[in-house]
Amino acid sequence: MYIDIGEYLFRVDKAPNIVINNLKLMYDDAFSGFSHSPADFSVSLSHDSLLRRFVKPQVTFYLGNNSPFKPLPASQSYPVMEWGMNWCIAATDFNRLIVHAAVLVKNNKAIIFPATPGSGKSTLSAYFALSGWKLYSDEMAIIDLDTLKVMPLFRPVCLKNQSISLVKEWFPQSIFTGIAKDTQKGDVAHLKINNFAEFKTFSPVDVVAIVFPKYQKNTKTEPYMINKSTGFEKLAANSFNYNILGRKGFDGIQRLIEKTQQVEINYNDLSDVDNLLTSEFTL
Amino acid sequence: MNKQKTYNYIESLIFHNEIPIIVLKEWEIIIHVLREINLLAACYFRLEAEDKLTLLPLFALKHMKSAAVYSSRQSEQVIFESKLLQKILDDKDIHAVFLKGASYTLRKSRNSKGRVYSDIDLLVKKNDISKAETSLEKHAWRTKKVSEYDNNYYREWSHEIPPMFNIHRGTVLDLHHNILLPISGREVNVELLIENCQSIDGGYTVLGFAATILHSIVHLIINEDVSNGYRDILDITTLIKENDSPEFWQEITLLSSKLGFNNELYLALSLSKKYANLTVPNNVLMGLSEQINNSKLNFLLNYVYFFALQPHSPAVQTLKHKIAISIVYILGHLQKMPLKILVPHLLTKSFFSIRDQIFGKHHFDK
Amino acid sequence: MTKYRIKPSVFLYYPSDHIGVVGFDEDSHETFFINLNSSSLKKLLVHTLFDLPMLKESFECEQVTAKEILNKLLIYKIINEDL
Repeated sequence: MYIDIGEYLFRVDKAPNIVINNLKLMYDDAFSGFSHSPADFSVSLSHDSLLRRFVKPQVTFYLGNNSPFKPLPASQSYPVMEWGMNWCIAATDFNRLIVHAAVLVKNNKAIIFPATPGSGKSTLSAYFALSGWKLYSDEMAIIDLDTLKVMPLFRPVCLKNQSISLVKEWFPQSIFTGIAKDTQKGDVAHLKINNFAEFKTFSPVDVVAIVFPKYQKNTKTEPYMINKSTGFEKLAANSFNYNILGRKGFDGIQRLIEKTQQVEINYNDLSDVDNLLTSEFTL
Repeated sequence: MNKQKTYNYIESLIFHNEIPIIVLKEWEIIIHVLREINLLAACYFRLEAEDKLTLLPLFALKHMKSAAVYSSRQSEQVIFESKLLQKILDDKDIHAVFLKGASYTLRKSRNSKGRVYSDIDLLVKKNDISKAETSLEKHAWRTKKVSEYDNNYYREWSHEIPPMFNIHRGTVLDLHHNILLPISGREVNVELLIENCQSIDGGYTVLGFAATILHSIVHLIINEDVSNGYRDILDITTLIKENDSPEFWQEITLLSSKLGFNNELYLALSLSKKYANLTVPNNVLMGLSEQINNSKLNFLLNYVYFFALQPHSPAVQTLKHKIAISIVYILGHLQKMPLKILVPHLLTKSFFSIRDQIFGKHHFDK
Repeated sequence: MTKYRIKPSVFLYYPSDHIGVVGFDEDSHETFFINLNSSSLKKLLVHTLFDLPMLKESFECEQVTAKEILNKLLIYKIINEDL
């Protein structure tokens, strides 16, 4: 079985039925029985031990023969698959800068939202993606260090806890997997945004801004420009592979910071953020 | 693509830098196996040295290039770390010899590019171990937490202390005072090895080429775990080819005889001939006539080691590979310890692994 | 008079908003954020070799401050004494 996420192709060798069903739901035509292209990764989800197959069942994610995580309860199989896929990319791609961030695109211009604590980036991703923006990723910004363009990825949005019910309330037609309870991130569910046919029209685009949102219950939506060296620091701190890229990473981030604006936004209403960013960056 | 074919392409690529003439889809399994056996980066650099990167499809190139970036970063870290370590030990007048991966990188040998390192290995005199440990502790190095059982294993039976790690950078350091378990009765005369040292650029000490290669050979053959065996033979073959001279061959045959490792030398050279077509001078072979005529040894070579060292990947492995690996596992243990120590050790080890099979590896993690 | 030079392995980024300087050392792979006036630092490092008076001039500051700045640069390991 193959999952085509745009930039990468995964081959799934083995997975529980619940995972396969969710993959079909989340990836529609991007999930297929065969592909003529070579897969970047061969992954599987399997049970590790005799006892763990039947008593408190566990699954382990494998890339080839290596398992990067501890085994987790089988009830979390689907999130484990998605997190495993994230890991494969972040742990092996040193050709591009990979930032832990959401990427939303409007009018062919991208905004990167690094995953700082309290940012609410997943809820933001879901809201924006279902409100006319294109979702390039809810989890990782893949940036080409020569062109500084960001790559589209075909993935569902991972939502946690209250965000799940919030998004269901705002967008009653949205397509969700079931909720996996008691994961290390709390309750988790995945949300389908586009279908594969729509996604295939997305192409790499320039970044106009790097935005650090901070959700605060009782606040006005307020943007603050931050200075570039702080912007550099925060972007590098949120990059998975900055430490490996060395000089190329330093030069890339430098050029990206110079090319874009860096803004902090305190907010409590996502539609305000949407309006603010759309007008600020003429999107 | 069947397993034998897959293996053949991999052998030509790794040992002969021959790019397989295959369709794009078939590169999938090649890249996955190379990644599995940690030879993606090495492949990149070897092909780069022969100007062959442009002959690769983009799919293969991007994965090899990415691995090469990672590997280069690790090399830089090893160089940086070694500089600091040398200073710490110099300050205390402790003479240290860099072994294995770090030594290849520091001396810039041809097999140093594309390496994957897990740690830095240093050889010091047994009397200096404590002084070294103390000095390192003052510079943010700590001993890794290992189980009480393993701690005893390291200190009493093995030739090293439990690994140390740097609390700031996470680098792991293995301090050895010999290269084989003293209790095995096959303790290497360390003085002899150290006599064979050389100084290289940067003020580091490494073993001479003959000793380095012999060390690598011994480490490969007298070992129950050969999961990196294919990579090890690549190292050995590349090092030999880089130093191919009458003086080198004389040195290695002399050293091997003195230290009693002719069986291991014979096995390694024969495997290099089989995988890489290595040319071994006739006079060297004549010196190993006892081994050439040893039918048991040749059986081990052709039916056990030849298969056990091939890539440990399901894409290549068949039942005969798995059997060969099990035989090497038992033999490896037998060679490292006398039976009376081995049996309790294995029993303890296998209790843990049976326990883990049932309960899962992390069940008892704190 | 002791002369100093910037380490050859160090690369600097002077942000266009002139606030602070970001440095990268290729040897240690460390990235550091230098809380100094970027135009003054740029002015100083135009010289391959510099000394304390030259630093004082570039930063237009008192001797005491100049010494502090020099110390900062040494602690960051951006510069070496020229031996």
